[in-house]
Amino acid sequence: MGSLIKVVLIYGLELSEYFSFRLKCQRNDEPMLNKNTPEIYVDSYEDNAVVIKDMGVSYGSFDILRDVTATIPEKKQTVIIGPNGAGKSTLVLAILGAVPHTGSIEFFKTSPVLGYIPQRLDFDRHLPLTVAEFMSLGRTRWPVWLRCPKKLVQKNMEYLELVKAQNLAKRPLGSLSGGETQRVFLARALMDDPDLLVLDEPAAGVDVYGEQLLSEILDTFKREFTIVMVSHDLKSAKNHGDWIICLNRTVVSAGPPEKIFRTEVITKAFGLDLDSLEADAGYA
Amino acid sequence: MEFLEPFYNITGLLYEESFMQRASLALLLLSIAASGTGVLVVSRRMAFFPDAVGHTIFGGLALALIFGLQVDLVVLFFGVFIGLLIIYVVRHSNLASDTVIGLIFSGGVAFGLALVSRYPQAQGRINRYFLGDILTVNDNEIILLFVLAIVSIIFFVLLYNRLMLSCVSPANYLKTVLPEYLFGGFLAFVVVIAVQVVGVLLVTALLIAPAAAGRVLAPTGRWMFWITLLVSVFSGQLGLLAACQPEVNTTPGATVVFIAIVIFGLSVLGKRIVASLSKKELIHNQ
Repeated sequence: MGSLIKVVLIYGLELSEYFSFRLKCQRNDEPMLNKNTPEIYVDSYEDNAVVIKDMGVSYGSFDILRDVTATIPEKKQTVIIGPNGAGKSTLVLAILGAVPHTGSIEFFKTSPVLGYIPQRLDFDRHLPLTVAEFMSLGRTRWPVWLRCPKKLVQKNMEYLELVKAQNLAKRPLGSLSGGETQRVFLARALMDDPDLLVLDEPAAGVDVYGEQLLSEILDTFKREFTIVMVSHDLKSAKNHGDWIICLNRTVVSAGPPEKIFRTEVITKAFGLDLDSLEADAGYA
Repeated sequence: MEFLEPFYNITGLLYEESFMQRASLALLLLSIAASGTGVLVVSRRMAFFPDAVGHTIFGGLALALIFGLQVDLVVLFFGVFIGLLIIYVVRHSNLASDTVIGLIFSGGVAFGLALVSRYPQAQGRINRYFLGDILTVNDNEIILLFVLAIVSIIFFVLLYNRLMLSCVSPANYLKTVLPEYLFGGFLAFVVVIAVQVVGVLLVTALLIAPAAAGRVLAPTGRWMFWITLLVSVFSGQLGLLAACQPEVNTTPGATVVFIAIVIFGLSVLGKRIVASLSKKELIHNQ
C-alpha cells in the first residue's frame, strides 16, 4: 500500500509538472518554446570535442529542434537537461549521426569512436547469449559459435571488473536487472575505447544504488574521454556535470553548473520556476 | 561427378538407390546452410521474411517461363531482389517490418498468379515449388548445394557476430547497413534453394524449427548454434529415412519439417519438466 501511494505521488507530481508546463506554453503564443530569452546564457570552452552550429531537426513540418548552437567540452562530463519533449534524446541522436539534421555538427577529430547507451535497454531478453559472449561480439574475428581467444576472455573480465560486474560474465544477458544491463553495456562501450560516450537517461529504470554506482564509475573516467549524458535529475546533474546544456527545443542556456543552476535560467528551460516546483512537491 | 563419389560412399551405407543417396547428401548440405541462417532469422525476428521470399518465387517462375529464360537463374535473382527490396523498404519507410513483408508477400503472389492465369504454359512447374521434391535432385543441384553450404559457412564466419550484436545492442544499428543487406540477400538465396527441397509452404519451418529448438535448449549463444545444427541435420536425415519406409511412405520434405517441429515440442516439454523438478527439489531442500 505504501509503495502504491508512493507511485501515485510520483506520477501525480510528474503529471502536475507536465500540465503546468503545458499551461504555461499555451499562454505563450509560441507553443512549447520560450522565444523571449533576454538573459540567455551560452558560454563556451576552449577545447571542444563537439561544436554544434545552427542545428535543427524536424519531423515533417514539426521542428523538434531548431537553431541549436552549443559546444561540448573535451574530456569533461556534459549533462543535457530540459523538460519532456525538449528534444534531448533527439539532440544526442543527431550527435551520433542517427537522425538527419540541418546546420552542422563538427567533431574535434575525424571519425571519432562513439559509444552510446540508449534510454531503453530493451532487447530480446530470451536470447541465449551470455554476458561474456556479448562482450566478445564485434571484438574478434572469431565467430562466437567457434571460439573466443584467451586474450579477449581476460580483457572482457578486466572491463567487467571496471564496472563492478565481474560476477555476471557467465549469466545470460537477458537475466540481468536494469542496472546490471546498463553496466555491462557500459563495459562493452568502454572496450571500444571511445572518444565520446553518450548516455541517454542512465537513471531511468535503475534503483538508487545502481544510479550511484554508475555515477561513481563515470567519475573515474571523467578526464579520459568526453561524456554526454541526458538527465532528468537536476541534482545529479549539478553534482556530476562539468558542463550543462539546458535544452527546450533550442539551447536555453549552456555553461558550467554554478552559472546554470539559478532560478531564472531553470525557469526559462522548464517553463516554471524552482519555487513553484518545490511548492508542487510540498503540496503533493 | 567424381568428387561426389566419397560422399555417396557414405550415404551408400544407408541407402542402396542412388536417388536416395543424392537426397540424403542434399539434405545434409541444406541443413548446414539452414541451421545458422535459422538462428539469425529467429534472433532477428524475421520469421516471415523467408515465407515472403518463398511465395514471390511464383512471380520469378512465371516470368522465366513466359520469356523462355533459364528458370532456376531467374527464380534465384528474383528471390534475392525481393529479399533486398524488403530490407530497403523496411529501412526507408515508417512502416513496421511485418506490414512491409505482408505487402511485398501479397504483391509477389498476386503478380505470379496474374501471370500464370494469363499464360497457362507457366503452370507446369508450379507444383514442384509448392511441394518441393528432394528425390529428383541431380548432380548439378548437389553442386549448387555444395556452393550454398560453403557460402553459408563463410557468411557465418564473417558476419555472424555483427548480426548477433545488432540484435542485442541497438546502438550498433548504424554500422550494420551493409551486413543487413548481405543477410537479406543471403537469406533469400537459401530460401530459393530450400523451396525446391521442401516447397514454399514449409520453407519457413525448415529454417526456424531447429533454431527454435536450439534457442529453447541452449544456455549460451555458442550452444544455440551447435544444437540448431544438430537438430537440423538429425531431423533432415531421420525425416528422409522415415519417409522412404514402406510403412510410412510420406513426402520427405513434409516429414523432415514435421520431425523438426516434434523435436522443438519435445524440447519445450523437456525443459518445462526439468524446471518443475528442480523447483520441487528446491522447495524440498528448504
